[in-house]
Amino acid sequence: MLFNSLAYAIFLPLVLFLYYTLRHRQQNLLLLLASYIFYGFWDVRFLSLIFISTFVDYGVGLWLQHCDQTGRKNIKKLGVIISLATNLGILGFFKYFDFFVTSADSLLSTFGLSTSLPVLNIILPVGISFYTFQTLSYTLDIYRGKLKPTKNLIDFALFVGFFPQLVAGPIERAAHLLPQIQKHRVVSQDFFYKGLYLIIVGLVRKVVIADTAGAIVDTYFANPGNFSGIQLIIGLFLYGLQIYGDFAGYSNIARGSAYLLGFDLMRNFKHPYFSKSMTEFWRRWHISLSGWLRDYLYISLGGNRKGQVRTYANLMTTMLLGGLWHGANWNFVFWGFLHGFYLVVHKLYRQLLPLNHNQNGFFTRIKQGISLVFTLCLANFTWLFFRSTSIATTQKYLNGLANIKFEIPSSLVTLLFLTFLVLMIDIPQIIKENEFTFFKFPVFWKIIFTCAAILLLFFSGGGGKASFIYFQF
Amino acid sequence: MKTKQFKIRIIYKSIIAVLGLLVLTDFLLRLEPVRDKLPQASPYYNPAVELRLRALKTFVKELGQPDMLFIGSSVVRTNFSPLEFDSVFHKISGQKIISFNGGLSDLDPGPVAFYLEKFWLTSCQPKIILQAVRYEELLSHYTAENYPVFQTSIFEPLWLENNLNSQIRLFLLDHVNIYYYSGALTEFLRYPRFPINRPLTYIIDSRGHNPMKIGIVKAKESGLLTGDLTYYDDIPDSVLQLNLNAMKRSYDLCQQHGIRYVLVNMPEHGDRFMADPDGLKRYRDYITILQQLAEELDIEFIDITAADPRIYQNDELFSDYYHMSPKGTSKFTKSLARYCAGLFGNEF
Repeated sequence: MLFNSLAYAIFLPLVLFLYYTLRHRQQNLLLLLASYIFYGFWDVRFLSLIFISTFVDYGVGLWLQHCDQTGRKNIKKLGVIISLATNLGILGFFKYFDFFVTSADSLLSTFGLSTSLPVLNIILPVGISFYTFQTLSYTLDIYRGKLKPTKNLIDFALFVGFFPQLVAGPIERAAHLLPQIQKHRVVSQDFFYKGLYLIIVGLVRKVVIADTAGAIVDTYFANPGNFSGIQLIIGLFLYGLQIYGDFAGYSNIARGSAYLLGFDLMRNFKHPYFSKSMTEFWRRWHISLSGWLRDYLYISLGGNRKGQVRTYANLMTTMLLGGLWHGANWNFVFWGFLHGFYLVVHKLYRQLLPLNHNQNGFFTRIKQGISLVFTLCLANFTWLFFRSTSIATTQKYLNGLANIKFEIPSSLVTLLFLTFLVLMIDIPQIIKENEFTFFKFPVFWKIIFTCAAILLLFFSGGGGKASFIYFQF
Repeated sequence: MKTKQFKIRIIYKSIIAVLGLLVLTDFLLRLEPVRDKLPQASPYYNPAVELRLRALKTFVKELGQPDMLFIGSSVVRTNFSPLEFDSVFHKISGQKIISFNGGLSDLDPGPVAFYLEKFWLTSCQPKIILQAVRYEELLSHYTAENYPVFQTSIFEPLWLENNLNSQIRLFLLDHVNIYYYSGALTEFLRYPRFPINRPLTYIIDSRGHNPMKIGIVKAKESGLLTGDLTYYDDIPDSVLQLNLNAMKRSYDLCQQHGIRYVLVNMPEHGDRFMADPDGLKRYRDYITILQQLAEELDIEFIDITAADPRIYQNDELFSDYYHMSPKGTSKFTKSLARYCAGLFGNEF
């Protein structure tokens, strides 16, 4: 079920209507049932994978606690191994099996070894990367002694399958979400308005900004050779807007839906295109994933505690795996590699020229402006490797970029219009450093913006057919 | 965080406010001067469909139901001028008739039958429907279900679904203007243009005709026709049969509505056939197939080339190898009108 579909427009009010009439425990049951219906809309069969993850990590959580209580620390690790093997095994099989087989096949054939390794054409279950990471974090946090396991299976199953964030995040931590599931929730007026606001903003980001940009981007990437360098540059910036609108839009709707249910999910995007370095970009882009990778991968590898070289190696490894997390394709790996490289270079640069926090003059602002534009251009250029479906397309696109002729293509109008919309949403939030600064606007402007957003939504879109990009991950 | 439970009346108020806004917008969209200033709605597979529909509605309002409707692909759209047709028809037969051009881009016989059923026959009630085909349209076969350009549209997939959900949505599309305009902004931003109410692709006249401007000589010089090669292939039997079935489907639909169905061969540039030694035979075989179909269905088949592509082997008549120049359109339309006046002159 897509957030931007008629089905969800019926599903959510129906769930809310029932939810508001029930008590806490019944609410949790309703949400669990609704979450499975929500997921089952894609493919009921894959619910079984969620059940497996749920039962395994629920059991492992209790096992780890039992080990702690009985002092059997020597076999505590076994629980973690079972959890990792089950979750990563499922993820590896469904997401990466064909990729590794075809890659191994290609590698062997370059050495003249003909093979016929089996490709299974496995369907990728929606959201598997998201809920796998979420449930893993639960087990790992218990293992590290940061969290106590829940004994209530319904609560835990809801933590794994909570429908607003089930298929594309934010990847929640148990320490943040589980207590909200366990306690009695009140949907305050504040939460209700925030929820509506986030859903409307999320829909504008997705339906108006991302889908419109995507319509042009698809044309450019289908045949890069047919377009001029200027058009292809615009295409990259449009893709930057598309993926931001698509993913941030999804996160907004997820959080908005959760607010209406009395839940406060973590923020996943914080104006990433206003970053002044790639390090900052990753603190603002897909915050729940970068936080997960930092806490469970980068730090587990040693983080920055084992010398400079290991720090850089850890960064590269984390970003390479982060790239691979997005999809079983070398393009994603290369995209991850580039981001790892940028982070390493930025770390080196900061060691050579440490940041002077006291500077606040005119030249510092100019420097910050240049850094912002540079980071924006770099991030958008790097999306090329993320968006390309093959190395051949990447090559064609790169060749096309070199074909610069002065012109003003009509797609520039689209880029400027969509950028204007993004700025209209983001700039007030940045200035006031408050995501909900909208509520402090004068009533007149609140009405104008709300009406404009609703009308934009009705005049945009293509019948609610466009899926979210991150569903494929 | 305020912990006071929100009041249910917020929901009612919000719903009423949004509905009020939408009702007001819907009302405004019903006003012609407002619609004329907005980007074109595009709920069909091709923006030209909306233009045709608007032209047809105005046409029916001012002149009544069309006597003749000419359907087919883009070659009908460009090569047939209803105003000229009506004038010549009147001169020869003494009968005043009104015709309309219903040619739509990229439609082969399968999708043509689909559009006839779902669009034309629900929008107007002509007395005669002429369907034109050309050789290339029989070389491949699509059904409406597997036709790629229909998949991303709004109306066509709903026509195909035919269930309660699609019926509701079709009803809403027909009656709620704001829903009809869904996607108009996205479509506009895909190809921004100024003034914003400028039609996206084609300028059509009041009868649905879309004359081509660029000449074939210029098109050849610009390299625009490099992809249009001479026909070197016969029509595969299986594909042919599917396309003939699609034309039979169009015939059946006309029969069900008491409309006379006429089949027309649309001439192409003679070079497409004559450049190949087997081209002439190929063309004649194709004409024979259409003749046999007409005999089987007991309908009229009009071929103004008399099975000879050389009659239209003239650069002056074409804008590319199959869309005609204004001169070619005039020649074809007049020939067709003369032929039709002889056939149907006494029927109106």
